[in-house]
Amino acid sequence: MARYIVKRLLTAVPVVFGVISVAFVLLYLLPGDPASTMLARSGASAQDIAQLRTELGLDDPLYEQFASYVVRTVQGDFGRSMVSQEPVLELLMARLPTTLELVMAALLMAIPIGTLLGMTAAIHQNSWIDRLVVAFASLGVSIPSFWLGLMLILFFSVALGWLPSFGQGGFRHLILPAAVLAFGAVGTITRTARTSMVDVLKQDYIVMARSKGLAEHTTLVRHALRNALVPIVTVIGLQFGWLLSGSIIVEAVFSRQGLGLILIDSVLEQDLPVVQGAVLLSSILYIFLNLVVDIAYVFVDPKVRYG
Amino acid sequence: MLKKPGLAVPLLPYLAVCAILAACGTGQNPVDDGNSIILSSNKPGVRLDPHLDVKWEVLYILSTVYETLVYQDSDGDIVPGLASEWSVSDDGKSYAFTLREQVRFHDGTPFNAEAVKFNIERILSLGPRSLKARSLLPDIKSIEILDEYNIGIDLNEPNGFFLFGLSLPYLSMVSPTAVQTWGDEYHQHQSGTGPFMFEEYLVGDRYTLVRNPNYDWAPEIYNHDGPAHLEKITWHFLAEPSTRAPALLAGDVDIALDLLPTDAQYVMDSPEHTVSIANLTGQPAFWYLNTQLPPTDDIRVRRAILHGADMQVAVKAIKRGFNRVSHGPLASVTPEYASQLEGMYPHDPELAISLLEQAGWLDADGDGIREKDGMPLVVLMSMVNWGQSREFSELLYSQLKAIGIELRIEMMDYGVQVEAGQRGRKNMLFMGGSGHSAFDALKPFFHSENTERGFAWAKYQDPELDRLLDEAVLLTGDVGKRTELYERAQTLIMEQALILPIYDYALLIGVSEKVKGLEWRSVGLVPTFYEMYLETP
Amino acid sequence: MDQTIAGSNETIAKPQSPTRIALNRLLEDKIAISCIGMLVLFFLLAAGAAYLAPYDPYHASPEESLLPPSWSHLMGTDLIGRDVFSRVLFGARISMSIGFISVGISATIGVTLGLIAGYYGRFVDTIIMRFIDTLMAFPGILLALTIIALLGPGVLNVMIAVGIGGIPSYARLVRGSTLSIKEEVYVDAARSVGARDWRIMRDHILPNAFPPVLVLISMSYGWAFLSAAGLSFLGLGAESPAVEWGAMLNDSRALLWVAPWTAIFPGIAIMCVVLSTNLLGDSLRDAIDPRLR
Repeated sequence: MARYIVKRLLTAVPVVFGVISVAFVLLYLLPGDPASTMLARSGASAQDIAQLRTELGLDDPLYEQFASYVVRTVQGDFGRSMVSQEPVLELLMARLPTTLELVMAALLMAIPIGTLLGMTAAIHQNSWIDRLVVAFASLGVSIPSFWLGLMLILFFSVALGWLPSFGQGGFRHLILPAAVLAFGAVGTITRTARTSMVDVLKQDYIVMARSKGLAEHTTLVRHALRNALVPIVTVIGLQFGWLLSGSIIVEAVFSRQGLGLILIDSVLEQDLPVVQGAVLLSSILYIFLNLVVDIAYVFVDPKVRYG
Repeated sequence: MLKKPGLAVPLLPYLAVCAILAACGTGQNPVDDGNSIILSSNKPGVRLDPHLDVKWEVLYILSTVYETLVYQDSDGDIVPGLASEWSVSDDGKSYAFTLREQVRFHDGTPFNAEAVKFNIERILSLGPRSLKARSLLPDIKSIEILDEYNIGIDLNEPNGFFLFGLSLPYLSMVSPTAVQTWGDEYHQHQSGTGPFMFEEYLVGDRYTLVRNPNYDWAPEIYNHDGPAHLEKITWHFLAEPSTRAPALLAGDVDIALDLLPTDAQYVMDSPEHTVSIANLTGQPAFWYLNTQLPPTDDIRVRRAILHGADMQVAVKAIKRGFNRVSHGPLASVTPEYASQLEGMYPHDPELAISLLEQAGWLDADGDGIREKDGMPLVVLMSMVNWGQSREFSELLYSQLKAIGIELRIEMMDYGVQVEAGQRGRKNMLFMGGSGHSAFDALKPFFHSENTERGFAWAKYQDPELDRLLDEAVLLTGDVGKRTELYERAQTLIMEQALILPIYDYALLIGVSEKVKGLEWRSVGLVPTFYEMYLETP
Repeated sequence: MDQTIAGSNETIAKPQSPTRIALNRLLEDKIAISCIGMLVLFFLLAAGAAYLAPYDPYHASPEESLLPPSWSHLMGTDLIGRDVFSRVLFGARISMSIGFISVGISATIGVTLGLIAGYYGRFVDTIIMRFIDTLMAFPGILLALTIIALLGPGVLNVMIAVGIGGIPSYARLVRGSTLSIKEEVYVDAARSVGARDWRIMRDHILPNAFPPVLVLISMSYGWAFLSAAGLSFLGLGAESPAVEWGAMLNDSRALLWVAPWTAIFPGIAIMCVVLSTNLLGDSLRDAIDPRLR
């Protein structure tokens, strides 16, 4: 077990290294000169720009720049924003809880709803309930989150005035954005839960259990659910990444001051150190979560070998 | 471990409920103790430091934390502030200020001549990092501390706008001790002499101010003295303008600055809210017309664009009647505004077409776009993401197409646009709201010395215009003569069609009914939070 | 979803082509037929926009600003008085073609990389798959956003960004198929008569690996389309004044209170296209291999 975990951790190293390299390329192979971009709005002289180039180490050979970039990144020094001049990591860490709060809330909404819907559909396979659930799930993955967000604002905030249309701080502010973010995830989880439950229900031991006259409820919970859970856990793990990326747009729709919003703002302002930092942080978070899911998998599915 | 995986499902709704309860417990709205107020506006750009930043938040927020040597009264006259009196020599080159005594910064540092000298030297030493403050200072020869409360400032040349500049919050007095202690982190440890004190600044999110209990040196422009009425001000930054009106109507904020015109009407319909409009002096919104880059190097093309555009209907539709249509490089509420510019370029597509034909631009191939020597009549425009530049650009696209001009619009970040403007890569560039008087709204934007490095993106080279702008600044006493020079400069700018004016800035402020005493000082951007109080119904 | 499809290799690799059976199954599927109908309808609307649209989609009449839907303006007008209905029609062109081109980019590059990695194996495989792993470390739209930050906004850059974002699933799918197909007898036979590698890949492996790619194309179109519209919604897509559905929704945010019609109709259009392609993808998968259901 420990060996499996260590091995799995080691496979993440080259990926993290790749991500850092991509982030480096992002800033240093850019057509413009970072120093002149930074000073463009202040009307600096050529001398000012040259000085800044030296300060930033832009005149060093590329491999040296890369090496020092990797070292700084690993130490948690993500540089400073070109716009606000604040340390990037500080800016991002201040936003991280807002994003995580949203993603967790969406996940907590999506898991029970998706699982229940999927299983209900599977139990009533090919009935009208099944068709309705499948249609709902298809809608979930097809509806654009930015539009759903606008429509919910239109209905719950503009027309009814029940819920705040933007911002963060408190449960009321979380309902609409979390619901929008959860909608897509519900679609995917429902489909997976349905498929896996349908498969399980076809298995001999379930048919046997039913024929032995076990109560329907007991059969479902004790036998079917337990085996159907494996693919669901996988898909939930994958969903985390999707939710993290989906939160970018949802935060924009609801003006929540999370990682996503700062990422979009900095892309628009071409504040590359912040873009770089936000991308790095999100993908490292994602890699880490995938690791956690893979390891959790071992606990759920006895068939996964530690090799 | 695998004995009871079934338990997980019944647990899930329970977990969800826990999460809901937890969320309820944590972040409630800030408690309204009846004496605090919440505002919203755009977010600041660089570090929120009066000497560094150029954004309006310096005027909105920091004007309550800091004070200036002089103030403007409601007529725009200069009145005492931290300087109780001053004198100017006859040649306009020497200023002597007498400072108020017993004034202390929030960190306890005494305010004196030493502090004034420190502040001016700080601004000068910031160089290009100071986006606005440094440009407001004249050409200073020397600063001399006469005694603890008297200071002399000598200039190399007279400057009629020195006192005006000193009245703007960009030239606020900051605590020398705090600056020296915190260096680059000063913006997180601000210390001024104003009625409110810095409490907390979460970059991009909010800024909190608390009342300064020791404040008793209010300038005479205010109705009361002593500490402010309000105990606390929380400033939320809502970068997305469309969220501000909903926040106000939902009661999440008490004052929303810079409402969208389409939302302002909605706020006005609410019985618990009012909308006040602050018309801003200085620079309106306009597009530069580049005089160096074809096809706008031809004055006939520039004039055709001005006649082909109908900004009257554009401003009415996009600004919903809240802003005035602009006619020149100064807003109509600016004292030096030249009203004779109105009617200079009436909307006249026929005239525009004949001007283009005279210039040799004909639509030979019948595709709706004119051409000359096989080249289509294409005008390159840079669009920015503020000032509703997008809506106006797309409307202009339609209007210019009607006279056979193809507008090619490119969205640019401000920093990128500055570079494009300085290098002359675009025919039309959006500008606006960057100056508060004839002094800082004209010379930096039209004098030929500012074409390569500054903001004179029409790139017009004319000694006559330069002379008018240079001489007007030097006049300190003769306001009539100065206004005349500025009127001639404005007329020249419009005769040469260096800009296509769009609208005068008007700040739409949504205010809850319970907020009383809020006014806007004459620059239009400086609120009287010191006088503000809450009336509980 | 990738794994499910990748698991279908044995079926596809069977020499007898199941194209006709699949086609018949598809034509019996009512949902598939209605999705195809919907997509054809949108395609025709896009193609015929110039004839069908009652107004010039770029023409602004500011005196008709923010009119609610009526007989003269079926979907109302926007802030500067442009006809929303005409803009939705014309918007179909850019919006739908961005989706097609980005999927084209993903499929071309992804399939090529997958073929090469699977066929040559060893260190070629390792290098390519490490690259793919790195791409996959940026979840969802994040990779596209990163590329936009590098290239700047614009339609072309959105297509490239979304296209690159879609590469990994194609590469992984085709690599999986290639690994099993290259063990087949007919591939060995081709190799033994001295056929060149690229011919083997083109003539023997690609045709057999292609059916699941087709399913992936129809399923990833919805994702690509939504991502591109999302980027435009964030102000990073179509350049002004081009009409694109996502960008129309972006404009409508500021008008939500006063002119909700500017938000409702472009969104419905987006949803119809994505729903149709997603459902069609499901049906296609069922038709090609019903056991995957």
